Amino acid sequence: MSNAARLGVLAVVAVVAAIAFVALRPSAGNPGQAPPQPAAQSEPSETERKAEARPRRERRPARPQYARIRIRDGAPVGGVKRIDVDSGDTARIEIASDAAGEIHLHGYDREAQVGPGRLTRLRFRADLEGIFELELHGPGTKLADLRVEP
Amino acid sequence: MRSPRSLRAAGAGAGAAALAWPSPALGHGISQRADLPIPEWLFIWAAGLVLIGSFAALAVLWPRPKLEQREWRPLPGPLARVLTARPVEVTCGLAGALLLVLVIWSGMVGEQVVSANFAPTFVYVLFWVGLVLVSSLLGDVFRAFNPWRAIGRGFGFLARHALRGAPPAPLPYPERLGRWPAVAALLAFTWLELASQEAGGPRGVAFAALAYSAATFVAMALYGVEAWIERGEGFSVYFNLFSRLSPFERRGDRIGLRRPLSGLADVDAAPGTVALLAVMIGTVTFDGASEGALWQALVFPLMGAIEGLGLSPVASVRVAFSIGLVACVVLVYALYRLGAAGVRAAAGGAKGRPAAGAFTHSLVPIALAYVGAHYLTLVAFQGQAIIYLASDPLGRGANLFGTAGRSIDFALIGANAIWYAQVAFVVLGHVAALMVAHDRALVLYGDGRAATRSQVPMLAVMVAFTTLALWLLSQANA
Repeated sequence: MSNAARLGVLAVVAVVAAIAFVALRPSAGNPGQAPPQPAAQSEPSETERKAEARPRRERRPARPQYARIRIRDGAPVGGVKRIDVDSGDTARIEIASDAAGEIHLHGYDREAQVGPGRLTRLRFRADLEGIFELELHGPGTKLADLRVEP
Repeated sequence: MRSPRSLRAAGAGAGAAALAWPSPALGHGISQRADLPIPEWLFIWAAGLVLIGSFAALAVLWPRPKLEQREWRPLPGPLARVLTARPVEVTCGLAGALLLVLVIWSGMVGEQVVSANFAPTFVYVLFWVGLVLVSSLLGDVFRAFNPWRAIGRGFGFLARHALRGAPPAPLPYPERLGRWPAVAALLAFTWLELASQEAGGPRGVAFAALAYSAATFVAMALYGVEAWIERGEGFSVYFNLFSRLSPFERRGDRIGLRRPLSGLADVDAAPGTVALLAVMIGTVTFDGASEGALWQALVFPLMGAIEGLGLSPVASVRVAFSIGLVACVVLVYALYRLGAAGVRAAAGGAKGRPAAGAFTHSLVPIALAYVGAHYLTLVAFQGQAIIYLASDPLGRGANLFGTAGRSIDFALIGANAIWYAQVAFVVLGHVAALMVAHDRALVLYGDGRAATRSQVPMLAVMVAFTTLALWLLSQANA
């Protein structure tokens, strides 16, 4: 095979790969690589819409939906919870505990007191992408995974 | 901003929790952040690219060997000599030895909290993974900083002066031993990191470093420093293999440039080389798999069965993880052997059968792809921890360099950029492996067509490795 033919094969492969990339890529994002950007661009109205579309128990008609974690005997009731948030949205977590203690969210480095008779609420903008652990200080028990997807 | 100290203390009790529950491997256990799995569409796209690229490669690859010549030209200017000058060499060796002492000291004396102690992050993240990336780019940097080599040579120097003559000549290194001592060392190290559970914490790292140093010095005394570094010392052999990918090579007292990948051509097929690469790829495979659903489904019945034999829960976690680790290594080993056997069968007759080790060196870029894709974020994020750990190596509130209050910047790379980088590592590693194997086939079989035909079984094996790597990335934490 001549060198020209080799280059031709390479060009065809490059084109096929590029078409496949565009075709398979979900339409949501803008093409090209701009990873950390979209977080800052999301509209507040969209944020609200997504929060409300989330299928959570709707006991109270309050607008913001909090992911609920209940600690009993030093462990999360119902096992380790998975909390999904889109990057740039507001993460809302509320924690009830039967004993006094401190919780810590890795990566975001947030700490808060929890205890009987109180409901601890965490509310912050989720702008770090990845999976971060929420744990009970001291015993280091894992309570939940916060997953922030782009 | 809160003091990161109290936050880091959070890991204090994690060990206790791990007793009852199989925890993720320590390497990732240090980390405060885990990777999101690559999305399905990217997995399919990358796997497709690998397939199309492989078949295109068969048509496009060159008809004459290009990587098997030993071209090399020294870097211009004084740099090529300065870097290899005696004072620089001694300084680097001393720095390596001091870091070894620091690891042992902080691991022994410091707080036994994985995330607050200098030793685990330095050894598992900067040394074990960071140095792979550095070696692949810049060449055999570890050789200059190798503490065991530096101390061994220092002793040799002193012995020559004290004895006023040459010390007794070392024993000849037994050829049959090949790279097997390195295989044992790397398997033991990865076991400590991935399967030993909390035994691989600060004190475990320190004890392992002490024991390994003692064994290395005994072996060096027997076989000579350089002979042991070349074949037996696990980390030297490990980083040296990756350094063959780099365009930089030292010859004599000068540093020069060679064609990238051409350094792989003279990886000899000493006994144990295939096993070594199987350990390098298989252990990363296990680390990835242990974050996936398949392993989570397997590990509990396995642990139950082991506990049924009368072992404690801790021991049963350890044994189950050890079984998983070894199983992955064996799987990778068997897969490569299958491909090599296929090549020999396909080549058949005329030119004679090449040794099974003839294509071993093509696994090195695949090993880099595995390490790079799987541990990229560990280095990028947890690697930053060394900035505050260096100021407070014992985790007791010291602030030697004024950096103890720093924290990790988790906004450094977004998830999209991470996914693309991971896929790039895997696809480029695959392409590099294909090129290296093709070049070797040209040398063995002479003409391009016979070489291409012989390579089809090896190509299948490489596609399998690459797809496995992508699959692991799409399964972890899914």
